[in-house]
Amino acid sequence: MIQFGSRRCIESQRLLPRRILSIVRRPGLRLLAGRTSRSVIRLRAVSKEYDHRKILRSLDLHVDGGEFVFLTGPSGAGKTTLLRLLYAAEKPSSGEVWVAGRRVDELSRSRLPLLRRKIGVIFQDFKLLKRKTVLENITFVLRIHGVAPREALRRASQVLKRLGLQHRQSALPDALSGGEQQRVAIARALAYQPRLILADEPTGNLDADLASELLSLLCDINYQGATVVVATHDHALLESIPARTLVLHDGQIHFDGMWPP
Amino acid sequence: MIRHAIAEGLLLLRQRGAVSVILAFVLAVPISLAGVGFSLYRWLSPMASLSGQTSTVAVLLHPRLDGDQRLRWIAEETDAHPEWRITEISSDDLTQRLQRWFPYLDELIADGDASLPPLIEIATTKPETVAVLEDRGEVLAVGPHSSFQQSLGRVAQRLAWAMTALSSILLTGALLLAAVWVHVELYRHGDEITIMRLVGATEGTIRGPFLVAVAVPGLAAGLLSVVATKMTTTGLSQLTSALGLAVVTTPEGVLVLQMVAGLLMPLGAAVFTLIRHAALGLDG
Repeated sequence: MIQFGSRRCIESQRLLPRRILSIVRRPGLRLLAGRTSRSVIRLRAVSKEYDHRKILRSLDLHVDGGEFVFLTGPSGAGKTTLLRLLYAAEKPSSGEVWVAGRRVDELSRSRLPLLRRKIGVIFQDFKLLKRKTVLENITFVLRIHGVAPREALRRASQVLKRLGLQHRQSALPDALSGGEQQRVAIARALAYQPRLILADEPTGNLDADLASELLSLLCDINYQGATVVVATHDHALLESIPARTLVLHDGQIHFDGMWPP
Repeated sequence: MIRHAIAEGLLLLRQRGAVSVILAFVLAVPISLAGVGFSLYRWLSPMASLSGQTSTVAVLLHPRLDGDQRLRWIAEETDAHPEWRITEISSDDLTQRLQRWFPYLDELIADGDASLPPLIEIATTKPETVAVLEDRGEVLAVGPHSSFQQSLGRVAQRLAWAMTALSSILLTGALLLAAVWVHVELYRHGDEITIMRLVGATEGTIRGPFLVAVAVPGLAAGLLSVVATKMTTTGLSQLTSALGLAVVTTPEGVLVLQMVAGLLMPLGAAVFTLIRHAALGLDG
């Protein structure tokens, strides 16, 4: 079911330790980087409460650069909250959240954009700009990342073509189906080649073929060195490739290991 | 970033073109009226200053008062009313003055034993206070103690104050209007702003287009208000000239201020609303 890209993903997961693969690919960067830069995500005793209801309970987590991680668990387990903490849409009630070597929960508002430019987020509710076309949604993000207009257009067209959306590039988001909107959101997250990709239920609106194509794409990006964290409760997706899987239940990690074993 | 802000700002303007034009007009009206109000205030100011001028009230004393009694009376009144400046007019001086109006005065005085009553003049900024002398036994008559100039000045002063108050109210109204307009426009785009923040846009990148989108109609409002003020004051000047009064002019500084107000009021409101939006941490 999984095509070429995902096979590379499996190879990279099984045959070569991720960190070694990253060092081989970007030796200068890796050798210069300190310990914190190796761990792209680090959570220390993180708790999150809403109205005295504990969503996350003293969570500890460590994700190395270049890892591919599935985050799963029943609805309300805290998957989305965990991701929101990582891209600093929320602050933890207690504990420390480190992303790309920076303590996110203590970042000033002016520093947040710099962090978020390193993260590509695929939102569950897409969060597309409704007044902009598909192409503009992507070029807009590339432009705020400092990409020149012509280059932004080229890269946006490229990523849309890859996601099979080139024929819909002039459409407004409201004119797209749920699956198409999902793919635009994915295209936007991938267009600026972030070091960390956080995907919240990315296959929720996709059929099986598109879901496997998306997974293939994420594996490909992971192969190129990016860290990928996918929150999902899609069992087919979890079974499709062996990857580090975190099972969240009642705000705590109940399982952390390779799945399928 | 500036090019991006301009491009995105113009896009926002195109999307809300009709509303922006209407709001530019609506914003221009109070600013323009404030300008006209200030021009009228300036026009009325010389007249208003008349209200503080000194007036002289003539008071005829009883002819039976001799020189000592008059002096004593004058001294008592000066002590009682320090703001009065009392001058006794000599009988020669009085005769001379009266002869201008009554050429047969000499003959009249020569024919009988008529003598002119002693006259004093009271110079004061409050001529109405001299009316208290009307009831005194020593006083034969008190001259007109209501100055036309002062009355005119007081009316002009009140009008000038009313114009200032009206201008202030209008400017406050314009500021509130700009604030509400910008507030509504920004909250209409609240989701977009949130998404922009989530994908790594800096506050400058987010604010730029909105500032451009409010600066353009603000500038238009400023220009419109200048044109409207000029037209109104020209019309008023034609009217005052026809009545033989001074023309109404608007200082260039006021016109520049109108432009600045048109531009800064919506910009200020936009900056305030955007900062508030950011402070609320509306990150989806």
